[in-house]
Amino acid sequence: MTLSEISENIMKRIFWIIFPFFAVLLVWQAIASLNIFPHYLFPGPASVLEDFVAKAISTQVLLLHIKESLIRLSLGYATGITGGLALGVAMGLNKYIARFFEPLIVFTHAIPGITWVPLAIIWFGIGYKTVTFIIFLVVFWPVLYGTLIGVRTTSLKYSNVALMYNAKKWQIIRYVLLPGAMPSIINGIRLGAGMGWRGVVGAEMIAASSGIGWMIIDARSWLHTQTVILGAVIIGIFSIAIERLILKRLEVRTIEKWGMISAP
Amino acid sequence: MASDPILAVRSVSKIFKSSKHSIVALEEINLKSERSEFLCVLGPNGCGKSTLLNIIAGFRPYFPPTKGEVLIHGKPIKGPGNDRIMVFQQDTLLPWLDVQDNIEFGLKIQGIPKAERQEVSEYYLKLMELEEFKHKYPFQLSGGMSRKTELARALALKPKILLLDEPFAQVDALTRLSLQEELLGVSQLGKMTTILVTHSIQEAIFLGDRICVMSKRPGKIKEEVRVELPNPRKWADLVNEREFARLHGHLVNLIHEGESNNDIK
Repeated sequence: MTLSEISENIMKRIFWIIFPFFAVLLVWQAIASLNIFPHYLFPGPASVLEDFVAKAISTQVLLLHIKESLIRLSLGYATGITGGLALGVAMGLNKYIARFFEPLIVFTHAIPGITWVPLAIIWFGIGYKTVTFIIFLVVFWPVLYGTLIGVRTTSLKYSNVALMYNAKKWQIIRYVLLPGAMPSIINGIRLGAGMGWRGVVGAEMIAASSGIGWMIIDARSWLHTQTVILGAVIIGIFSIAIERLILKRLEVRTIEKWGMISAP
Repeated sequence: MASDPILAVRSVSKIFKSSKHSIVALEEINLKSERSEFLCVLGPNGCGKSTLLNIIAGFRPYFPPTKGEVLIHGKPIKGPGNDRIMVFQQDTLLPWLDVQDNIEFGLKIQGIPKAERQEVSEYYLKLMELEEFKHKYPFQLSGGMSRKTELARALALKPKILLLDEPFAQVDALTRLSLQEELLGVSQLGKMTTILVTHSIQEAIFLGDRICVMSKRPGKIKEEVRVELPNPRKWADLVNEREFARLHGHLVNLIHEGESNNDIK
C-alpha cells in the first residue's frame, strides 16, 4: 500500500464513524424543526447542544454531575473487579470453595441489581455509598464468571510447568492463572463496564441527589426533555471512551500481543 | 555421601488400576546413573517409557510408583523438584511471556534477581542462536525455535537431571537433525545426567552414551546397550560409521523380537 492509499483508508474509516451519527442527527433535527411535536416532547439536537453549552460552560453543573457519577463508577469498578477476580481465582483453584459458593451465586445473581437499592438505602442512606454498592454488585458478577471460566480453561500444562520449578501458590496465580484467564477476564470487565453504567444511572435516579442519573430524573420532573437526552448522550460518550481508551488498550497490550486472540 | 549415584531407579513397578482391569505399565525397572551422561530409553509406543520419565520427574498420577523408589544422590524423591527439569513433547512455553522471559521463567520462580536472570538468559539466547527472537512471543515462533526455547528454559536452571520426553517428535525431520546436534552440544557443556525417551532408534544412537531398550507390556528393560561412538558427533560423519550401522541393526532386531512375540493382534 502506498502512503496515499493508507491515508485514503484512514479517511474512509473516519467517514464511516462520523457519517451514521451525522445522518441520524440531521434527520432528528429536520423532524424537530417541522414543529409537529411540541418542543418539550421532542427537542432537536440543536437544543440539546444548547443545553450542553449552558450546563457545561455557563453554570458548569454538568461537570459536577459527571464528576460525581465517575467517582462512584470508579469506586464500584475497583471494588467489583477486585472482588470478582479474588473469588473467581479462589473458586477456580479450590473445589470446596467452588462447591460452597456456586449455589449461593446462582441464587444471588438472579436478583436484579436495582432490587438492592431499597435495602442499600436503609443500610447506607442516600448518596455515594448506596450508588457505589449497586455498581459493585452489577460489576462483580460478570468479572467473577469471566475469571472463573478463564482459570478453569487455562491449560493445566502451564501450571504443571510452574510446579516443576517449585512455584508457590501465589506465583502460579500471578504468573500463570491470571494471564491465562486474561481473555475471559477482559470479557467480564467489558460486560461489567456496561452493567456499571446501568447501575449508576438506576441507583442515582432513586438514591442520590447528584450525578448523571439524578440529573436525568430531575430534568424529567421539570419537563426539561433536552436535559434527559443530554444525559443519555453523555453516558454513550463515556461508554465509548472507557471502551476505547481503557479496555481496547488493555486488550492490545495483553491478549492481542500474546496471540491469544486475533487482531481485528 | 559421595559414593551415591546421581540417579538410581530401584525396582520400580507401576500398575494402573481402573474399575475393570489393571495394567502393568512398568515391571521391576532398575536404572542407575553414576556420572554426567546421556541416557536414552528406547521402546515402542506404549512400553511405559514416558511413565518411567514422569515417575523420575515426580509427577502425579505416575508418581509415586506402585513399588520401588527413585533416589537422587541417595535420597528418595517425594515429588517434583527443580533438580529434575523436564522438557515435554507438547509446547509448554507460556504464551504471555516473550522468548527471553520464558527462558528466565524458572529462575524468576526461584526469586533470582533480574540482573542475574538476564545474564543467564543472554547466555542461552546466544548459545541457541535465539538472540534475534528474544522479544518474540511463542505464537510467532517456528516449531524448531519453540523447542530451542523450551530447552533453554530447562537448562537455565542448571538441573542435575534433564528429562526429555520425545522433545523433537513434533518438528519436521530436517529441523530434528539440527536440533539433535545442538542438544548433544549443550548437554555436554553442563555437568548433568540427561535422560531422553524416544521411539527413534537413530535418535537414541546419535545422542546416547547408553541406550536402555524397553519391551512392551509389561514395560521391562530388555537390554542395555553401550554406544561407543566418538564425541562430538555430527550426522554427516555418523551415517558412514560402521559402528552406527551395527548398533542400528542390533537395536532393530531387539525391538522386532518383542513385537513378534508380544503383539498378537
